[in-house]
Amino acid sequence: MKIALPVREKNLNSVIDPRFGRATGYLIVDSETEDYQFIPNPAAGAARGAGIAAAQVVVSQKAEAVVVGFIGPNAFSALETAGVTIYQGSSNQTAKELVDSLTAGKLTKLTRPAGPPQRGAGPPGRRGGRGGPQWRR
Amino acid sequence: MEKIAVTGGKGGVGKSTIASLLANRYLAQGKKVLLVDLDVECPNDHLLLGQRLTKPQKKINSPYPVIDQEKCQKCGQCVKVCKENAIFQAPDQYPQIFENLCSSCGACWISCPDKAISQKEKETGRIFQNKISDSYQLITGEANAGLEETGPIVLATKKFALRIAKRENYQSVIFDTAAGIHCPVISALLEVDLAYLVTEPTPLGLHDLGLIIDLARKMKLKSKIIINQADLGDIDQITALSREKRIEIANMIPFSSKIVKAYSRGNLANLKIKELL
Repeated sequence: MKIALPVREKNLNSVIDPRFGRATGYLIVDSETEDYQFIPNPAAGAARGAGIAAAQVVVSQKAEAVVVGFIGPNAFSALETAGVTIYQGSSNQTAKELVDSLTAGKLTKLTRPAGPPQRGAGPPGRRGGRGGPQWRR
Repeated sequence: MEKIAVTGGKGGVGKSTIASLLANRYLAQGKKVLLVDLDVECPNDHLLLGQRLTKPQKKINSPYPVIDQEKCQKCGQCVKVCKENAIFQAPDQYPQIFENLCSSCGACWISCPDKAISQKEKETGRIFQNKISDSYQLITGEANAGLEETGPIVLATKKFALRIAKRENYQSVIFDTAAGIHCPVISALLEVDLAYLVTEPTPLGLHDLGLIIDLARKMKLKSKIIINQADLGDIDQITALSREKRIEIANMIPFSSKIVKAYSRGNLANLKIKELL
């Protein structure tokens, strides 16, 4: 199956970007072949709605699962509607390691979003985001 | 009818205070004045003038899209045109509208090839009217707390105010805008005759003055600078900026504890200071 991961770099050695809608881009990985594709985030700098744009990328690539750090309520709702399973990733594993953990059944499914919607750098910018799992930087 | 905006980028420089003092000046000149509080997220002109916002004169509604599943062909056109990313479509499913992101622009229902998007109205704000005297009225726009896009509330309040101004022959309409340079401010600055850019002699004031000047330029808006609390800091960089951008400094207002006391007591309407503005 196809798994989507929000990433900073364009390869499987990248760690995942903690903010789903504000990642540099998305790795779409085939869990069986480990073939992957990098899609740049079309809405990284958008004032609002980045999570929805990211979710749209995920479903247009036909990913069945995503692995995230934090995901906001809009993206969560969209992915839930689309039937995409959302898994909790961690800061100290690469995309490859997370894909392997997922297929081994070691990742936890997220049942609700973590953190508030994240505003972008468009005027006026404001960074929020609290709570959710421990994220080591 | 003259339409004058008081804006400035930086919050807390004294826009509302200066808008009220400007109103006082025009009243002293015998004009009929309409002061319009377009800082719809945090309106506080009424506080400076000792007025209370009790019963709204008018409710403001904004339209939100509704997908008609019988007509929708799931073409995805609405998702493409939505600039707010407020529409999401899972493969083979009907589009899902995220109202909290929607700015009511109408692009989706205009561009739907199957006319499958209708509109529903939701209350998003309200307008208050306060008659201060026979020749002085305050109109206040107020957005619902948490409303994502407040530009439409500014436009609705402006429309209401201008209708009154025409009908009741107000000579001066003063628009007190929000801080910042985003949609609610842009909406407030549309089609005004003159904008006063209020600043203060601090690095923050200077920085934000640069931003509001750029916005005024882009909007081809006639502007003048007012330096508030001008004696509290070094104005050289502001004067240099005004020369560089060719925008005149209309006024430099010294700090005045008289003004501070007056607005703290909600007594700005009665303040008579000859040398100001």
